[in-house]
Amino acid sequence: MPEKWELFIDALKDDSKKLAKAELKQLIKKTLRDRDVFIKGQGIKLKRYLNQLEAKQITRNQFKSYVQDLKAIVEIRSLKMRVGAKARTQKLAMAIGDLILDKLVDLL
Amino acid sequence: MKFKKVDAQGKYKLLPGIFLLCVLFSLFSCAHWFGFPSYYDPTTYKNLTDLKPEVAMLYETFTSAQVDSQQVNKIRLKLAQIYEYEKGKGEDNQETTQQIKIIREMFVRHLEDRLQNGKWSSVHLENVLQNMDQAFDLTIQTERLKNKNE
Repeated sequence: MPEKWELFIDALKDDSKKLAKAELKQLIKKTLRDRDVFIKGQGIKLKRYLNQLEAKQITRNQFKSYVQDLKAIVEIRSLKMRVGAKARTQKLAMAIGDLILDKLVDLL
Repeated sequence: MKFKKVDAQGKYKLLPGIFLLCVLFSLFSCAHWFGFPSYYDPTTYKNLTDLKPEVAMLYETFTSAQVDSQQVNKIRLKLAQIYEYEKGKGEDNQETTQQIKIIREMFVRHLEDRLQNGKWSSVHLENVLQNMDQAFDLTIQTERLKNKNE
């Protein structure tokens, strides 16, 4: 049985057919099933915003602002992942320098 | 590094060294193209962990009729100072600088919303607070991922 947020998307009047409703619903469902807690969390928030919009607890502009927030948060997370990868490489380079080049190679 | 005894048995002793040099060369090539991140900075960590609850406390006042413009200006100044501090560390710190820039943009957008559309409902406050907290948490976690300069 479709959830509230799905019915809300289906009920949106879209004469110009700008919104691919099925694609949007699929994206949210896929996000909700994701194994990554962070990605799943963004899907849960998006679903909640749609439910709140349907219940008129938030305005259209507030919804738009939350989606802009989600985009910003995803960017911040992507930058975090980049630093994580670089820091691991840096650690390996330092370990190779300290342990292997300075100590082990002398013994070879 | 000593390379000695290149005889029938000894030449094999050079192989691990050559392999390591190749690995090192690859690593430093990566560092050249992508750069290593700046080291962990306790000042950055403190700036962010101090500012996060201040922003949250300010947002909580947005549900009332009055906007504390003094507190708003104080936080705007702090965000600008933190941004300049991070930017001053150079290219190696580009990710953190970019993260602070994004947080600043979020803050400006939230503030404009409050000033233009009036006081926030409790639902709106909860949604905005959750997103701002997450933005700060991710930036704080990023700093903790960096290696210590020991």
